[in-house]
Amino acid sequence: MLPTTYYVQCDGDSNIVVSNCVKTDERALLITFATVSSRYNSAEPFSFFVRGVSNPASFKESGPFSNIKLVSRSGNEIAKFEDSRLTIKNSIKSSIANFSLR
Amino acid sequence: MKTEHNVPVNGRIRVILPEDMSIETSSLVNNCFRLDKSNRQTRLDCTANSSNNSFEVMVRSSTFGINGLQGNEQFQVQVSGFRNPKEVSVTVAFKIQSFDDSERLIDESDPSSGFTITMKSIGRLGSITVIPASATNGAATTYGFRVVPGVTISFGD
Repeated sequence: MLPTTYYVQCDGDSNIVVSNCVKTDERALLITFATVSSRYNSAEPFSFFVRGVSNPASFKESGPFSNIKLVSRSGNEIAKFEDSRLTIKNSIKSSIANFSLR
Repeated sequence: MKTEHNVPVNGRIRVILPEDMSIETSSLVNNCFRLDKSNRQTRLDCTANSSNNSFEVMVRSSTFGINGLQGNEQFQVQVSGFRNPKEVSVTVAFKIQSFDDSERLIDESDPSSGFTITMKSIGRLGSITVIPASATNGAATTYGFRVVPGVTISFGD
């Protein structure tokens, strides 16, 4: 996970509900799901959204996202994801907010 | 498996799966075979019950003979359509029962009889796509994660 701002908020899509979303350190999130069980099954993809992530400051390729795991309610790992291609790269330069010469 | 007592024709053998497993009913019904000592397949009359997570093998004279399944007779069945438990390193147990043609219980497996399985390797998430809402460096933004899980996600996971 990338660095996050102080306030982080998570949402699920129509298939899955995020019941809790907490930062466990500056770069990690623990997201707890409450499924919409009547609609959800293992074959269906789902999406979740994390608000309050700080994009990398540089234009280098960042990542990969690492240590993405699904953990059961009893704390046992049930699936993990490791893909070195899961990276991001900024493409737009930020504007300088204010600049003055004296 | 072996049953202690005979199971008569039109009796049944019920296998109750661990809670964490599931059955794909049509796959099981169409892929249920008895294997002989040479691993040759004979199709069995099997039914699946996803509500109580079990399947049953019907003891028919066409596949077991006119005396049904004899006690202490080696019986090997091969079935498809199971979904493995999703947790690794947790041992779960099957329960096996036999019934006569009037649904009376004949034999039942002992919980300590060793009909257990333990998952050794963890599954992989199918895929993840990450989409930042903003591509501006240093911006505080929203990240969307699209996940193809590959395992069932239950309440509280």
